[in-house]
Amino acid sequence: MAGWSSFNISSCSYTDVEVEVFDECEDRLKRLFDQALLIFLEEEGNNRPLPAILGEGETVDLFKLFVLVREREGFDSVSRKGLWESVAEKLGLDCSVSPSLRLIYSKYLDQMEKWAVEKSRIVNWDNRDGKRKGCYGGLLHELEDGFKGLLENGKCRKRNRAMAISCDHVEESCSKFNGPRKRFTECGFKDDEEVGMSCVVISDDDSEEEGLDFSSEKQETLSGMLKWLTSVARCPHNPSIGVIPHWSKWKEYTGDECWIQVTRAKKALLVQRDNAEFRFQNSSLLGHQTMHPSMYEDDRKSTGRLRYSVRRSQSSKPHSSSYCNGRLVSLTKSGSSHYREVITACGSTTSERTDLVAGTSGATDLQVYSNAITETNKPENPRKYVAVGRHFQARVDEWSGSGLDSDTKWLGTRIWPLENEEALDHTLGNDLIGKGRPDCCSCDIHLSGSVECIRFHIAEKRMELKRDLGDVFFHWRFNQMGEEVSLRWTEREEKRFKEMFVSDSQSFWENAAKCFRGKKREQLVNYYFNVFLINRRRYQNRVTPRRIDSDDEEAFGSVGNSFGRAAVTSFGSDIMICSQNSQCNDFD
Amino acid sequence: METDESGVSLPSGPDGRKRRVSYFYEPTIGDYYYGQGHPMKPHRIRMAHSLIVHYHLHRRLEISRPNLADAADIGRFHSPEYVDFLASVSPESVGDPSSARNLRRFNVGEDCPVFDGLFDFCRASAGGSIGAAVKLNRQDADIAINWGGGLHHAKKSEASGVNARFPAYLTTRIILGFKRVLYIDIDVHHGDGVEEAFYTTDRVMTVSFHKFGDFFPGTGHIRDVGAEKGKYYALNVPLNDGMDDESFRSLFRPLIQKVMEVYQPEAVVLQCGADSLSGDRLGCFNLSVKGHADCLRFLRSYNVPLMVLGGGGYTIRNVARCWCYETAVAVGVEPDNKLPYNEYFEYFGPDYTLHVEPSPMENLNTPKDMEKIRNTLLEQLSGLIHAPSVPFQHTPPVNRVLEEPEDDLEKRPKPRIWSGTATYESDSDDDEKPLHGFSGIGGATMDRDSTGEDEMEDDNPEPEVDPPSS
Repeated sequence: MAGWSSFNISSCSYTDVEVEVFDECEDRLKRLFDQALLIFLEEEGNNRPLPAILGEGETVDLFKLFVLVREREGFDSVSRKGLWESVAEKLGLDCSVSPSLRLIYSKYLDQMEKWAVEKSRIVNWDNRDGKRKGCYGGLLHELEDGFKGLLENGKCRKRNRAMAISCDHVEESCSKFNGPRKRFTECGFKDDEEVGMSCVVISDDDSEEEGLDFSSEKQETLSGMLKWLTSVARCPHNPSIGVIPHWSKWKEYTGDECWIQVTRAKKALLVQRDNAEFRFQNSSLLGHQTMHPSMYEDDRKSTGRLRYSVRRSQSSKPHSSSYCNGRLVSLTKSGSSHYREVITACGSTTSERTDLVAGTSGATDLQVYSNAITETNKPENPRKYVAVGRHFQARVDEWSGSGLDSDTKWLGTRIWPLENEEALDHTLGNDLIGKGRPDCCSCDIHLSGSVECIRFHIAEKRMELKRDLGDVFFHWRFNQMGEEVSLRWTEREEKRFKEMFVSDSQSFWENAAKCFRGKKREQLVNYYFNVFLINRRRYQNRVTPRRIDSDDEEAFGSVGNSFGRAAVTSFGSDIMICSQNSQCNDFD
Repeated sequence: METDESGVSLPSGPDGRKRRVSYFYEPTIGDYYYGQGHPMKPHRIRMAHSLIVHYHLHRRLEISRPNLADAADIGRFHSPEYVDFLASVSPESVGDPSSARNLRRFNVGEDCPVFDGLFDFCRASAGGSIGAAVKLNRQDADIAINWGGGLHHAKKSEASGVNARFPAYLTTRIILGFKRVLYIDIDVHHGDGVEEAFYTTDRVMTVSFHKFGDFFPGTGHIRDVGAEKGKYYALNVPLNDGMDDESFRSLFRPLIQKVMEVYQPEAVVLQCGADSLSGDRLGCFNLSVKGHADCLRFLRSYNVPLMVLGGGGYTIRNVARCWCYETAVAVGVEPDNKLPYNEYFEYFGPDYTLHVEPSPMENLNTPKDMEKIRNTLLEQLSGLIHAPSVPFQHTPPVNRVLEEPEDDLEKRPKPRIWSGTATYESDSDDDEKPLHGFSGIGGATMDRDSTGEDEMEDDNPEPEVDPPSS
């Protein structure tokens, strides 16, 4: 990564845009970090919203947080030493948020830290810096080291694996263009697993060897460069590759050397890739347009992400470049027009360069690395247009001047007001309209607000209602509403219902039809909404009032067998329930 | 936002006449069930009904049980094959290879599962909506409510989305008796089915406020304005996550006011999808119940025959709250916040109140975005051929946006919208208009109180309008 940027700067003859080394580097690191994070979260099936938001609504820069914590030797160490406040401070946040910060770290970044630690152990740090760079150096240090090492190329002979990777890209794509048979689905990465992050945690290939003089051999053709690249890619440790000079010295070279060409080519690709990465970040979030996946989950992934949204120019076909399954996925498709843009952007002038870039575009059109890309769920949602035609539109005639066909059968059956109250007296009972419950009830002080108290008042209210409505009460099926539905169920049936639901809520409805042969589906549904869910909600209201949810059917497992009724039942409540029951019995 | 008129019934117009409100309820509706894990739960309608009755709101309502619409009736909008299919399909026959093709063809499946009584459910939903339409047609009611209706995604020959079924039937129905019908949709999802059905006619104008971008169903772009004769008779208001009461109101009121002014509908259909409420399981807006009901309150004040339908809404306790409150708004009652005891009391814990605070979520709709959308759409509305005999008040967009950021995706290049529209007037008089807010948009015919405090009281005498020249 660091390598890339340093090269890019150095090739300013090649591009008009000159960027500060440092900013760009950090910028790219950050971008890579973001992508890696996305992968981690995705792999865990972790749909946490991004950006991460603290209780008060401030967003947390996860990259900074990660770096800061890693600098302090990781999550455990920070927690142990109580350094969260200082981390918060460094992030420009109030000290008081440190617990939330800790939570955020553990929710978002824990996996990544573990991974990073593990990787940095596994990666063969066989150079002399190995120990220093091990797991405890902190990400930024590792990065800086890698970066510095590259710049001070004399002292520290390292080659950046990221460089090798990007070379691979060029090589792969170009070679396809030029004919050699190669399987594109194999990215040819040295270490597939590592690729995702190796650009972030710069890995050091210990190439001690000083310049086998490969570059002195003038390569006139693209294929020469490609051969060179292939050899580098296949065998990055090969001493014959040599060391790329510090960029300040590049001007001394003619520009025909393989590595200069490669860096230029890479640069050209990189421009496009960054672009595509950016797109992917948007588009990966746009990918769930159809209802199904997000429909059934509380998927708020897009919250805060899609401010710019949605519409992209129609002409641009999907571009995507992403890390997918820890693998670097490169550009897939491209309208060639895009590549032309790239070429212009790069300020490419020589025909050789144009060839190179054009070559890559040809290759990328072929869906390089298509194995990974197929899974990136349609990164683009083209605008949907409204279909026009007689199959889609309703037939609407010109207005004929008269209201047609107001068939009285559609008026339905009037249930209320009752016929004999035709002249609805608006003054009667007006004081009741819109009335809520009284502020306090006459129940025993100990019972007030308890389950029994509420049950009693509900029953009371229902009696009143029944008096008021008469037959209409039954017409509207109030007799099949509320917990009294359970009176039509035997205790054994109720128990079985609960057990079945708790043990396997997913296939409950299929099984229930078989299990409760005596009950119609309507009755099961009715019981579910009128008894089962109310019980559950009652439990939530009293035991977990901050986490209430009447709509998530999947989470039933946590409720427990008894719905926590024990937790909400108070002594001496039996009498009331009994009296209620007898009242309700005559509803049937 | 609203004045607190607790317990006081409001006069509905200058004459103090109360609205006659007709309400349709199918008592069996609560026991239909889409299937495990499906977010659509008809039970919510029963919960709402329970609240309504326990608040004694039924004393101000005329309540009917809808007749089930039969296949032939529904076939008047939907393709006969589709209707036959729905009528015949059952969970048992889904596995049957012969029906597999039809399942695909009609897009019935995961989102739109086949469940027991599917067809009856559709019939009840459609029956209620048709009934409501007929009530309005016959001038038996001023407002007709069917919370079981408003499933707005279903298309002419396919089902779509969770809340899919016979959508637009009702509107087809209602326009039989009215010259111009305005359909307004405040569901968080785009009202694609209805928009599509009436995309090419000017007898129905559709206006949809919805989340746009990475969201089902994906239609509803601001540039979709209708086609052929129906051009400019479809209005789409694309919104972003976290939409709150104030922002919503700042769009809804001026836009609808303008629509009412230029389109002069004879009847209005308001689809009150409750998934735009805060905390909805699928939605991403942050409206309070009052903010949601403000739309109804506003429309009610026009005293145009009004049909109120349900729609989405997947956090059922909030749906019941919302629809109960909106029923109260329709009859002009401000119910107590403390819920009366009712069968589903526990659903509303731990607070047991009618209103809940919206969540402290960020509103991604910036005032600038809002203004841009408002201006774009107001301009589009200026392109409508206004109802004859109504002096056309050209209302310029408020506070024209000076910069046109290149990355802004909502602002459309004008030529796309205005090409060939002769009625578009120059906006030379821009500067005479107030620069901020929506309050100044009103034309002469519809002068509203700018603070919007008391729509319930004031009334807008609709100027008598002749039929459109067509």
